[in-house]
Parts: sequence; structure tokens; C-alpha cells
Amino acid sequence: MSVEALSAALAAEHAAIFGYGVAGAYLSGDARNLARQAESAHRDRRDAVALRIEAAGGQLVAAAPAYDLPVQVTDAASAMRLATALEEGAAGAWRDALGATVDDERQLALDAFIACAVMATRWREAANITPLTVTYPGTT
Amino acid sequence: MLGVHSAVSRSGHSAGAPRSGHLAAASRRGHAAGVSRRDLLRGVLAVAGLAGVTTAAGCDLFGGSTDGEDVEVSAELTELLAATVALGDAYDGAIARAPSLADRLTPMRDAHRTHAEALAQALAQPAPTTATADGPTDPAAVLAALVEAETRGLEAARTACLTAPARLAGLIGSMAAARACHLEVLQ
Repeated sequence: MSVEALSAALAAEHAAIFGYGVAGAYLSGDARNLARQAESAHRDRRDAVALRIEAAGGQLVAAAPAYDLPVQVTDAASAMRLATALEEGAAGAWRDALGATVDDERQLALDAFIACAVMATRWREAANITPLTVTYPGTT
Repeated sequence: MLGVHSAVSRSGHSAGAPRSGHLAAASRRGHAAGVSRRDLLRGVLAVAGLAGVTTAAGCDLFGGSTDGEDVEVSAELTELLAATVALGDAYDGAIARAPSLADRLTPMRDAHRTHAEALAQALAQPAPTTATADGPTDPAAVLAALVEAETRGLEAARTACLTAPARLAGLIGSMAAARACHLEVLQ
């Protein structure tokens, strides 16, 4: 059960990394730095969860060559909306992993969930999307 | 794109998560010819929510257990419920004492109220009532007090999530994540 949940989280991290490749091209200054920081965090989590899955004897989900993105990016504002959606999407995958994991794996999932939720909030702040916070992160 | 769709439709059942199930179904339809733009969009949204599809029995967000886990309500969870009610009260007091912050604070107050209701329901316990305490009226001091309260609340929810039964882990983890987000905007 935990391999399945962690694999879904890995797939979400692949999608987020791809999405930042698209969003980053439209961002500059502070927003670009935030995108770099966020993408780097997703890469770290991707690697961490891949190690767990391999250690549990699971098959790694490969990254797709391309992903349909929930926001069509044409400028900085839409790039930040995409970044928000990427973080919420990844947050949801990690939240779903909580109930399927215990101990260290749950800790990994919880830390990742919180980090993605906070990054989504930082994007809302950057893009002036209100309300800045949501009642249940990872469900929007 | 195909990789994504197959990943989504491979992800199995979604008991207790009608939203995800719907998206999974939409995504599967996406393989057929003549996909409507709407269906395509649903598939796309499924990507954003990706692993929402894999929500398994016994771990959905609102604690709707389907795995028959008989949860003994620990003192820690009862305490978490009381502390969550108190967090909502702290915001009520803050809004009353510093009305200029109302627009900013109300969504966060409402989140704590919603969390308390959901946790009370999941624990099959009534949410306790607490009294609103006195506090500062200067907006900066009001915010500083809320930062302290949210910091304690985040740690409590984080700790409780790590040992929570599977059916409550998503809810309590969501409470922790929301508190971390509140801290982000309060500071």
C-alpha cells in the first residue's frame, strides 16, 4: 500500500518538475528565484521518495516526456497560477500518502505535504491570489 | 501526455474519494477518440491533483474509515481537538481587539473552526468550548501572539499526525499543513 501511495507522490513530483520548466521561462526576478527554489525542492523530494520506493522493492514510475498542464502559461501571472496549481497538486499526492504510510515514510510524506502547501501559499502571496491560505491544502 | 494518462488510469481504485474517482474516469475516457475539450481539461486537472486518484480505503481526508480500524481516541487527540477550538477562539479575540486585521484573519479563523468540526466528528467527540482570553490590541502584537499560537499548533498537529491511525492521518496532516501556511502569511 505504501509503495502505491509513494509512487503516486513520485509521479506528482515528476509533473511538478516538468511544470516548473514551463513556468520558469515566463518568470523573472524574485518570482524566478522562487521557482528555482521550488523546483529544486521537488527534485530533492523526487530523489528521496525514489530511494524509498526502491528500498521497498517497488518499480519506479518514470517521468513522462511531457505533461498536460492545468494552466495555459502565456505570461508571468499565468506562470504563477501554474506554479500554485503544481504545488497544490503535489501537496494532494503527499497528503494522500499519509494514511498509507507509517513511521519514517509518513514523516517523509508529512514534511513534503507541508512544504508543498507552504510553497503554494508563497505563490499566492507573490501573485496576489486571495485568500492566501486554504482550509484543506492540496484539494484545490 | 500519454504517460500521464496511463499513470492516472493505472492508479487503481478511489474508495471514499468521489472527486478523484470522477477525474480518473474522465481521464480514462480521454483515451477514446473524439475527446471533448471538457474531458481533456478534466484529465489535465487530474494531473495537477495526480495522486489524488490513489486515495485508498481508510485514508480519506475526512476520516471516513472503511478499513474497520477501531480507533481508541488517545488523550493526545482529545487535546488536539481542544487546542484547535482554542486556536479558532484566539482568532476571534484577535479580530475583536484589532478589527483592521479582520479581512486577513477571518479565512484562517474559519479554517480552524472547520478543522475542529471535522476532528470532533472523526473522534465522535463533542468539540469543547473555551473562553476567549484577553490579549493585546496593537495589530503587530496581535499578529505576534497568533504566530506563537500557530507555531505551537503546528508542532502539536505534526506530532499527532505521525502516530495517528491511518483514517485520521490525512485530516491531522491537513491541519498541520494549514497551520504552516498560516504562519507563512502571518510573518
